[in-house]
Amino acid sequence: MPDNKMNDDVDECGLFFQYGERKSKDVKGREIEKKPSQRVQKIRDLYFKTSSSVSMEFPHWYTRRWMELEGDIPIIRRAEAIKSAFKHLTPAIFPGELLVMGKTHYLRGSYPMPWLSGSYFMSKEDDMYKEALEAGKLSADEVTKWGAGGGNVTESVGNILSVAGKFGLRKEELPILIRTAKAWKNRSVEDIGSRYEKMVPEYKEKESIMRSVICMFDSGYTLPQGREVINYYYPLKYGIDGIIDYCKDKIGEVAGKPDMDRLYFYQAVVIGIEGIKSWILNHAKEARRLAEKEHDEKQRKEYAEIAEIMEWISSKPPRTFRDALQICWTFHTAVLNEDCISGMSPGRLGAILYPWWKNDMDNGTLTKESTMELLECMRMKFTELDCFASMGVVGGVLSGNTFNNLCIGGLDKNGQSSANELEMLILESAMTCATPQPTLSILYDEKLPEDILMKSVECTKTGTGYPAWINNQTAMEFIMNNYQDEGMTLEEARSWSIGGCLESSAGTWLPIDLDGKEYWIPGGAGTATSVGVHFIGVPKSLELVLYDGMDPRTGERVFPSHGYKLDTYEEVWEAFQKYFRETVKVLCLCNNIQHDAWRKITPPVINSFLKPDCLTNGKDIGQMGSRYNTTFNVETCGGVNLVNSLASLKKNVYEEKLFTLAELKNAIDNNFGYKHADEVGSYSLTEQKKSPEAKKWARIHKLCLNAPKYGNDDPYVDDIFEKWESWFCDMCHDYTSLYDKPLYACQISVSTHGPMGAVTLASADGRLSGTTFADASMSAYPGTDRNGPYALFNSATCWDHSKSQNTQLNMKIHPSAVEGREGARKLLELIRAYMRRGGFHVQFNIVDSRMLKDAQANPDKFRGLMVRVAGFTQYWVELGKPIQDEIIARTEYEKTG
Amino acid sequence: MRDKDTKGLIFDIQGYSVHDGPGCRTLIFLKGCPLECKWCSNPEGISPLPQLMYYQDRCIGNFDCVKACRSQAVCIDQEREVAVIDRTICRGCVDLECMDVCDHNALLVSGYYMTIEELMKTIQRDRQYWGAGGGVTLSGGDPMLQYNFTRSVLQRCHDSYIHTAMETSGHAPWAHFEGILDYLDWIFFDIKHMDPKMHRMATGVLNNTILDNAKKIAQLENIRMMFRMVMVPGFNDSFENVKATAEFIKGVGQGEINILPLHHLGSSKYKLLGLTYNFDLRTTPTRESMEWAREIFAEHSIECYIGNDTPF
Ligand code: SF4
Ligand code: SF4
Repeated sequence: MPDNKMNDDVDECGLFFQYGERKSKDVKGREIEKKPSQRVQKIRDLYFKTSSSVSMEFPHWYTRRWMELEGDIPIIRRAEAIKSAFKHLTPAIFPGELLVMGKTHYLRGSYPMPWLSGSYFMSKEDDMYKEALEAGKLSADEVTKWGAGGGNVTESVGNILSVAGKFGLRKEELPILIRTAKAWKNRSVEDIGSRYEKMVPEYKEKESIMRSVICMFDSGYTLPQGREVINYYYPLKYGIDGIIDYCKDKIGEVAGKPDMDRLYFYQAVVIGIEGIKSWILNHAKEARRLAEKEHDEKQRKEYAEIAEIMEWISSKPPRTFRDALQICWTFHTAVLNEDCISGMSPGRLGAILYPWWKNDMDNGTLTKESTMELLECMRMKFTELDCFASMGVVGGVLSGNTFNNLCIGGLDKNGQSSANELEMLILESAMTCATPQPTLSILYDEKLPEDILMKSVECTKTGTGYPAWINNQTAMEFIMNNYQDEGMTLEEARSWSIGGCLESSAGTWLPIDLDGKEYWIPGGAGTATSVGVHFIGVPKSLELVLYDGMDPRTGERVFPSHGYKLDTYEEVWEAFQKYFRETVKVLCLCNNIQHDAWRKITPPVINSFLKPDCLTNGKDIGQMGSRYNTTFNVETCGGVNLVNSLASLKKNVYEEKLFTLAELKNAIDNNFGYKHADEVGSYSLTEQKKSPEAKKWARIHKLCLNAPKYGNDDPYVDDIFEKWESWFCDMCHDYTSLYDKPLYACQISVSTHGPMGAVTLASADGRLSGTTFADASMSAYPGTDRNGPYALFNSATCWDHSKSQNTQLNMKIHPSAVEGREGARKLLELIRAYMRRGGFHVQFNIVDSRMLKDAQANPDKFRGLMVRVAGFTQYWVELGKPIQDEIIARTEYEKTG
Repeated sequence: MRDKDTKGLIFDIQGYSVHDGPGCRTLIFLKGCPLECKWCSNPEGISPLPQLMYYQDRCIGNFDCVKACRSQAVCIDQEREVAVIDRTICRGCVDLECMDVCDHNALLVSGYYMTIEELMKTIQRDRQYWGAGGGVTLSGGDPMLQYNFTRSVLQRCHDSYIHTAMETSGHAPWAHFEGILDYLDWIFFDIKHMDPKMHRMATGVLNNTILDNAKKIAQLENIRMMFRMVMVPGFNDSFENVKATAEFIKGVGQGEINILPLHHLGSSKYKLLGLTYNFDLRTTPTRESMEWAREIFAEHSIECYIGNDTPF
């Protein structure tokens, strides 16, 4: 007889963490494991030995030039500063690389951008740090925990100082860091923006909101751009000189005419791109230098080849696939050097590069093997990227990830499948060279050929967590809807792609002629979606309702009393809506000021000229030069815990009156008789320990745990879920961005469910104080979805996902459940079923939890182990413990039967 | 509350079951089995009644259950601070007051009654997700023990164009099989041992009814018959028995078997049910012995699939 589920996997609290049966006592390894080419294996080994390093070159030269130009027109000053910095970057080429260039001369280098914000990386004794702490700007940092493994430099050792909790800085560069940071005091976007933020009448509330970490961070001061799709079209089509010529013509056209900002913009583009040009040529020189002193014939030839390519692309459009790939990478890095960005996604790179690839393949200058080598090199380049920001942002939100999402599949301009053979190789290279970046997403559409779907399943089965499976049709509906006022058409909607981890981003089609053939390639055409109100921990909002506006953790009053007696469930819901609205309102106003300061002080130059239609209409992104500008959003985290808590309140307190609200609050104050997560050292509900007091709260805790839970196809709680989703998605439209466009809902947790859970007391759903929230937005709280994936799917799709920019469902599957060829086919059926029901996204961790526990205990043994967190893949050892615990606790679907 | 004709006693439903029939399936575990195999990995499937499962490590010995139980079936071992349950009294208890009052989730029940309508609702929901080639598999226990319910479920599924499969011990009156076979697309037919006495020793019943039923089912056209045998070292893995099994399958005109290696993952459940697992935990077949059995089947031109390595 097939086995029923093993009931001995039930933890102390009576939750099941495993669904189905566990066949073997042995820890299951991953079924598919492939190796990269020898060349890339060496680069990867080098990467594993490298730590995140800070180089002060770029900020130093940028600051110096900026200060020299005091009084000049901001965008010109900015372009000159960027140019100077690019010109002075020390070129570095690492042995074996086919693609070159990086953010700094370190393999894994990055740097702070003090013109944005300078306080967070100063020492805790520094005044700048103290002031920021007071204003609630660093509260998220204080509650965030880093993974101490891998390339993170969490503590200073010897000559290397740890900065912002993760990055290593050479001691001798410290004075430059301090000098540069101090130079921006009272001049940075943050310092200037904050002055004006204070003019918002509810500013005091905003500070309290930040201090109690109801909101994770100020996007304007931390990640002013990103979660968007880059566009490589202009450099690919016209080359650097082509763009310069175009701008020079335009300058002639607009000089002295009304709307003069266009003049400065075109001039700024010329200056900025000249900086990039010298930066490229410096790499060419470096390659020549290396070639000269190289003894190995093969390597010498490679250096010479690199030099030749760099010289060519420093002015001209690509001749070959490799040229084109190098151009994409160069401009990608250039944008990341310009601003503090997370989630600058290459988009549908396979479709973009296909013309050159096809050409090279047809004329025999490229083979599948050589393509693979190039693609693997590209993977390493993207993986080497680091984003320098505060601990709360890089650690708490991003887990060190840079979210360069590469999409495959989707539809072409004519509505046919856009999948191509190059994309098959991109998938293959993501298996042979399994690294976190670029992460892959497959834009699932019923029109995609089975071939690419099965290849994607194979890749999913490697356990790297990618590709994420995205519903092409649902996303297109969102795009059509969200950008309708800006003229979005069905044809154009098809060019969409994921920007960042899961953000549906608007794109456009542009033509490439190659050897007499015309191709329409997709690329980003909208501004950043990393902007707006970022990460409200919704269970925390409910907590404030129960405590009538006080934050019970800090003892600080955040909001005035809501004025409800909370005698009925409806009152709870209304009070919640009131507080939530207030939070969004205040944060939105302040955030608009932040971004206004950003666009005025550090107008984006490079990202602007890349993004249609800035170059044609002479406006930068901050002046709405992009085609689509309705991109500010409201991000939430912990929605499922909110819904479960509401269900418990409704049933236990109001309908069945099993205990009173006062009794519940008492139980929450006492953490249901459990020790605090920090004391236990684990952030997962499974691992929590009872205190001797536990008996007193056991009854209430049991009732809370046993209340209906999301993810079980239970209409009682799913109705609440549907109500929350619909209300939330609609209410966002009531608030407007800096550009006078309505906000919209974005529902990804990234890693915020760790720190946001850390600041939230126990909740009415039985979750304990300080423990991590449910991940993503459609995932059930670990251990509470006891009726299998189909019931979970039904719960998740009880509302229309196209109302939101995204939704996210993470599932952990034991490798045995998808074993073999039949297992692969059945996994596809599972995914397809969810997509057909309108689910926006699903992704998998195909890994044995016991292996993860082992990895937690022995990080050194698992340097290369990757897992899916929430919309992204990361090295296990670089994750903070709260997130590791949460992943281990996620319900694991096993093969049943 | 227990109307046997319309309600079934179920102890689990699992969606996305991938090894019990073709495609992705919903697997329904029905309680009650006419056999009692010593190595049974679902001991809660044997009794045809709901059963209390007691998690001793969570119990704090606070007497709540003692006070709640109207039949005085439970008392507390004060020294060890644990509950001691008299299972003979609990047998068939439907009130389960003890479970409701235990705040520590130390008492749970295995088995709940479902109407055909309720079950069909779940099946119709799941059906949206199976994808190509999936369906429903009834298992247990042995679904044949709840004949009326099983028959209705299969009939309803069949009427809805749902692919149906069932796993059975084969120990049921032929009339019952006749009653359901029209609605069944696939049958997993368990073979424990070819020798009647050995069979009775390990399962409590002789195997003649089982083998007779197998012969009859094997003659039917529209049903795929998949024999299944758990390989129990020292019990049914002798050359003679494997050979006899192969000859039997050949003899009834069939050609497929799925052999499963014995495991002991269900052993911990025995304790929860107040039972003892009398099987040596070290006895598990080796990969070689499974391969060896496969070869014997192959010599009789029978396709033999080991474990999950099946073509469906
Ligand atoms: S009520 Fe629960 S915890 Fe208390 S003695 Fe009974 S089984 Fe144990
Ligand atoms: S199952 Fe019934 S008889 Fe047994 S202890 Fe519980 S209430 Fe008493």
